[in-house]
Amino acid sequence: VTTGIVRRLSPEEEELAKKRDELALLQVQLAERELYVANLRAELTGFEGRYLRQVGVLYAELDDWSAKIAELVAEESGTDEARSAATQARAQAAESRSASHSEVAESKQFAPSPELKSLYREVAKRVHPDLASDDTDRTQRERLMAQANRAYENGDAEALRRILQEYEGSPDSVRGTGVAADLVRILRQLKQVRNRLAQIEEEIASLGKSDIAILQAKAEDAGKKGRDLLAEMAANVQGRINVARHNYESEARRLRTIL
Amino acid sequence: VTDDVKKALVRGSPTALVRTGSKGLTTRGLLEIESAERAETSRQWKLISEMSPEEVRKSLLTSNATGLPNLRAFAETERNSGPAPVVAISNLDGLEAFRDTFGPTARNALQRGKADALRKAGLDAYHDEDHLRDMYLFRGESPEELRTKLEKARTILRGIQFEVADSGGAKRTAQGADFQYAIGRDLAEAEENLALKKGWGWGGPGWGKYGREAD
Repeated sequence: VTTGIVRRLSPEEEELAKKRDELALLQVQLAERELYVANLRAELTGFEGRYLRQVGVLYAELDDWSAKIAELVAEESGTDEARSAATQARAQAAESRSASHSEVAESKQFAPSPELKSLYREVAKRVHPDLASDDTDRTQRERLMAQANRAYENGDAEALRRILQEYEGSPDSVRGTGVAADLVRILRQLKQVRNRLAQIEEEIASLGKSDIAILQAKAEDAGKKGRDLLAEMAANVQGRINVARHNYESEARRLRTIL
Repeated sequence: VTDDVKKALVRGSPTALVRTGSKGLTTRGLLEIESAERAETSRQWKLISEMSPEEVRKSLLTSNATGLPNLRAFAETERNSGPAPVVAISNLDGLEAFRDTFGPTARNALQRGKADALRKAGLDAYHDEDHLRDMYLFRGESPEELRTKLEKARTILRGIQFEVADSGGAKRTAQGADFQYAIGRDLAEAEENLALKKGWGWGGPGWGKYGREAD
């Protein structure tokens, strides 16, 4: 016959165990949603990069021709209105050029491997700033999470592993300072995680309504019908560039004849 | 300044006012695509001069969104056959929220789903799409007849599953939808009863279309 003494949990310890389970579930959910929104962001940025490289650069070229035409018009007419229009057209051309050659335009199509996704999920689960126990811990976690987001978007699995190692080795990853303190900390973490989950849903909704997301959806729909929407757009803008160039050249010739 | 050059300027910068960096270029592309889509849709419309008198009549009396007879058809029927003994008005619950969550295509699917449910329930239904609240109107012989059919339509609609994509692009199945309705001796009374049910409040937006105006 074996006998033993079973220690019964105090009400605080029971509550703590319950909240820990709750937090563990929410941590998994948070990591999944962080992964989802990170994928969505990266996917949209990748598509925007493709759009800017394929169509954006042509808009920039078109705007350049428009500015040249406006400058010719201003030169010929000499009116304040024409000069102002030319200045505005040149500013537009500069802006389009800068946008079409921006950092976003360098973004490549995003295709994360299952290993990368799994690593990111693990980092989000352990390092997420909303699981911080105090301000110092939060600062460290925010820094690591920002690095993790960059590493994920760049497909850098090694960097994600380093972040995990760095966090696991830090004193802030060590838990336990008594039931009451643990309970307070876990309740605070629960609140923070719930807030973050709500923020993620808002961000997903906002990304989904963005122009680039609508454009991507239209491109995908067109793709299902065997059409390449971006190529069609590029061809359309290229046609307008040809017309603008022709107009500019004939107007320039006419002006040279007059002068 | 020659007209050709002016035209070229306009052609060259069709959306010159959109100036917000790379987002501006995206918006510009999207605006142009939507404009091309609208042009394509209108190209597919038959010219009125190509339509037979029956086609013109049908087009005037039909809701584009649902294919149900429209408000004009309701008015014609009332004038040709006399006012119905009772009428009802219904309004889908949460249509705006549904559109905001799942997009306009899903919203259109929901409207068509409701129209199908109304047809299947044997209702003499009219769709007033030219209204802030997207109303459905019904003619009936008695309140009981309308109530029975409308409840049947609600049951059908609640059971319909809609394939939708959420704002993040994930495919989901939305389970059914519901609507509120109210019955009255005329549209004004039915509208008043429906406003009470929906908690719209007297004089709210879209109020008073069918008869009584807010004070």
